Amino acid sequence: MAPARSTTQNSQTGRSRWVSGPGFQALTASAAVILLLLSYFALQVRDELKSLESSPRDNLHWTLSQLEVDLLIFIAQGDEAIKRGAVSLPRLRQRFDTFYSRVDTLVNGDFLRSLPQNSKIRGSVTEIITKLDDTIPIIDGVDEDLIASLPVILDDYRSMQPLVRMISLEGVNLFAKLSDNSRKAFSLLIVQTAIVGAILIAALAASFYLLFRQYRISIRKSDEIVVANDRLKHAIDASLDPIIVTDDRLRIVEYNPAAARVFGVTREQAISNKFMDLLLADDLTSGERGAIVDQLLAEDAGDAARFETRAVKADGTRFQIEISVGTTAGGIGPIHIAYIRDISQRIEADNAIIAARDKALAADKAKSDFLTVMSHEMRTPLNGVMGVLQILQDTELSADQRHLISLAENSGKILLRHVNDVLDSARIEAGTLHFSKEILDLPALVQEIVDLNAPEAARKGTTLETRFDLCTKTRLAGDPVRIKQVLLNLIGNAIKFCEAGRIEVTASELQQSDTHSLVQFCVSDDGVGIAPENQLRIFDDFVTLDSSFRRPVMGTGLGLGITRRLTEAMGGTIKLNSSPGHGSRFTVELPLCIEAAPGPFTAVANDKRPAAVMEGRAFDVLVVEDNETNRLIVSRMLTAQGCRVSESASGEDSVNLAIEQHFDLILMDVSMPGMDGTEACAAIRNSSGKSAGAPIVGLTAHTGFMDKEVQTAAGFDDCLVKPLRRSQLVNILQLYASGRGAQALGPLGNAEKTGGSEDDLVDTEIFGELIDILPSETLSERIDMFARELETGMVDFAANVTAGKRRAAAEIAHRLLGTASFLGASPLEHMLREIETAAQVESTKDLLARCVAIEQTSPQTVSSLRRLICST
Amino acid sequence: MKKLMAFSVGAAMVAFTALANAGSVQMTAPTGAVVLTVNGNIHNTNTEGAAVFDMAMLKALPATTFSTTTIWTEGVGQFTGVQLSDLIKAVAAEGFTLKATAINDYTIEIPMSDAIDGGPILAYEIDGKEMSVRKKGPLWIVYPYDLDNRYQSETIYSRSIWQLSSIEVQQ
Repeated sequence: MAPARSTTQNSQTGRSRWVSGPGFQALTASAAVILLLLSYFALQVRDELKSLESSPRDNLHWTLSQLEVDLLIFIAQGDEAIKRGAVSLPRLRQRFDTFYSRVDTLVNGDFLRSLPQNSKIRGSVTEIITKLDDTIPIIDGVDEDLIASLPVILDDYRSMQPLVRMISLEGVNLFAKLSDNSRKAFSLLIVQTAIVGAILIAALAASFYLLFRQYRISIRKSDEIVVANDRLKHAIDASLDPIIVTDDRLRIVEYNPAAARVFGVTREQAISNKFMDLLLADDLTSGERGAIVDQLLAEDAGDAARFETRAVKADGTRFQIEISVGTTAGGIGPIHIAYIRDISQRIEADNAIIAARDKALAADKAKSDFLTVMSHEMRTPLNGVMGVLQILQDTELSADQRHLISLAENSGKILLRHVNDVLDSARIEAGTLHFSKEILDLPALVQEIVDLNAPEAARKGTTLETRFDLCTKTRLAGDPVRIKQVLLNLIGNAIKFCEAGRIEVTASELQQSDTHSLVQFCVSDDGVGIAPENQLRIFDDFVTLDSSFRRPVMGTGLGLGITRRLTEAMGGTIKLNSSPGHGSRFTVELPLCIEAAPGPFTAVANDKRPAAVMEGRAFDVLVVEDNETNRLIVSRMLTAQGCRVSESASGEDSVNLAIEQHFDLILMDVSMPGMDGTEACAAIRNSSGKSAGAPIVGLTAHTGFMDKEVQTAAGFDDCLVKPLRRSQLVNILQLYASGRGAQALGPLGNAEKTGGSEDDLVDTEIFGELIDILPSETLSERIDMFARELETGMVDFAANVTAGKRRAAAEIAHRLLGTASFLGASPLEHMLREIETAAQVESTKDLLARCVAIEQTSPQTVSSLRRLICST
Repeated sequence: MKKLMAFSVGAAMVAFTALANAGSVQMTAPTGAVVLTVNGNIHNTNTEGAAVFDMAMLKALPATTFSTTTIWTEGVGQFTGVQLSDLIKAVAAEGFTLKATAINDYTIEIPMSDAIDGGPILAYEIDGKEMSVRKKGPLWIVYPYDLDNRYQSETIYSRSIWQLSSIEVQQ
């Protein structure tokens, strides 16, 4: 069906039409030679005939014989003149002139000129004319002299007689020779003509033979063609797919039964009709039609020779077809063969497959989204549970209860980690994980993670060592949080599988380019090791190698999977060398950017973050927290904001410090072993120490402590809920640095009343987490939807209020506040909550005023939300 | 050649017409030596049954000149004389054959069809000079041989009679 085949066919038919190759050339050559010969002979014959037609001479026999007669008459006349005297002289003179003229004719005529120079005749004629010329003076002289000289002259002329006779005889010989020659020439001409004739006859015979042969060949070929055509016709007719042949003007010249069946157009209806008009869908654009015509008419369309388009049946049904086109030489001009397939079923099947795939993808995405949202939703209450457990630990408990709570707390921690793992995994999967680029202090970073794990390692009797081989001159940039997560996972893993062993953590630079440095982190242990068959598998998700370990270790099996994904997402690689019983060595290689600008290291200096609140000011903060990790984190957050931080691990210690030193702010953990936060607070207030009047903000995981009255009674100015959020801390700092009182701060120290900046309209922590969790398109859609809901909702609200439908109005406000809460639009949420409550009690006028206020806040909130997405 | 034939037929017709209309005319008599005698079936005469011409009378008739080579002379010669057709007209001859006779007793029959315009002349001058008897004069019937190869046949050569003395018009 390919165009190539039609070309082959073409050349075959081309060969069969003519005698092939050398034979034909030889024939042509010999025909040319024969033609040349014939032309030559024909010219010869023509020339001969022409020369026969005209004569170069008259009848010389007559002239030659008359020469002697004229001489004899002259002599006779002379004899008479001797007898009769002057009376006969005129006659004698005339006879002389006649004879003279005869000789003169010979002398000047063509005859003598045609004789050879040494001919006897030539000499004789010259001799005679000389004699005649000598006689002229006497002939033309007076009569008496002539008569007197006559006897002498006559004797002289008589002696001329043999000469004249000789001329005549020579002439006869000459003419005999000439006519011999001319006869020979003529017979040669006849022979030549005969040869020409013979050759002509031979050539005719040869042509006849060739024609006959050609005739027989063509008869045989035409028989073959009939058979081939028959076979081709059967092949075309037997085809299940339509085959349509058109001429150069795309009129149908051949049309098989399959075409009739598919298109519902009979062969009689189709033949001679325009292919494009009859069979292609009438709704094709002129551009599409032009392209199809081009493809159909193309000599060799290549890949374009197969294309899809829409056709139409006799009953008007349109359907998809695939056409492949071939062009070949037909009897009169090229023909175009279109092989057509009805592909509507295939397209349906394709569509079904695509739909099924889309459905599967959507289901998978929904599952993934669900997992993400669920994990996120689980984390919040889990934090609550953890907080309660912590509070419980601070109460009076029996040893048994304390043990149980510790078990519950451990389980909770594991659960939290799993939830975080799932969340991370989902985020990496969704591609919503963003990497920051901050200047790194790699030794400090590694040391921090090692320090964090040191207690757990120590508990198992395992030593943790660090070693660095880094170039101190270059400043490297990367995401410290994610690098820490990678190291945390690897070190945590090593500790897990090591009993009283040794773990070494190294960081070294392998190579440097102008822009990047390849840093290698190694975590080696001498623990149980991993069997070779599992070494690749452990980087997959949900893989746990429980059976190979001496004791079961709890885990989702996500840890190393996340580590690998994080590493790869940062452009790095991770690999494992391990032999069972001898330990494992995880090697992570990360390409980190080289920051050109020199300057002091500022660890954790995220340029995305706002400038430190206390930058350039002396602001002393005391952090009182028994939990080492928590204390470290709070201290770091404060340091980052430019505060000077002092730390204290117990209540008693803190009281002493507060007495000795002035602090601008004291952050006090409420529940601590020994002297708890409340007691310490009271002790500081009651002392007359340097910080007795300092604002004291409680840190608690206990929501019960959020009651303002409880706080005030205990001497606290404010309270923050653990885990601490940076924004809350910043708010507190801003509040107390500006000298505004505790009264201004809301229960959670949130931003609702600070007003002014657009970030105040949105809780960036809540929204930031949404950005982390949801793809930005989804989030954008939600915001757009929210904007529309707000707009129509408030109109509906006002309408309902005016119509006295207070309950309906309240329901609208409730629906809107749910969305606002979800998006972290806290001020708007607050206003909506108020209007929801007010809807049942306030006057129409007041409610409408609230409506206006909400309608003013709404667009600002929406634009803040949109800006936050863009800035991420 | 067809053209020539047409001419000759045309000339014959003219001759007949002239005869029918003119009737017999008495011609003036020669004053010089007679060089040509035309007799036989002619209507115009100046002596008993014949028209005789001296050279002056011939020269008074319309003259025709052409150049041609001949097989008896060397090079191209310019011949001047009376066209045979003009002579036939002048004597109002009627017939199909002209029997020409020369001083040397040579006699030849010339068909009347040869006497056409552009055909043979009775030449009395070659290259502007009269011809002596020794040089085939005084009258020589010369055809324009170079004009047509039909005039290059032995028959025409035999009709090219020189030293012409008389013509008899025969039926």
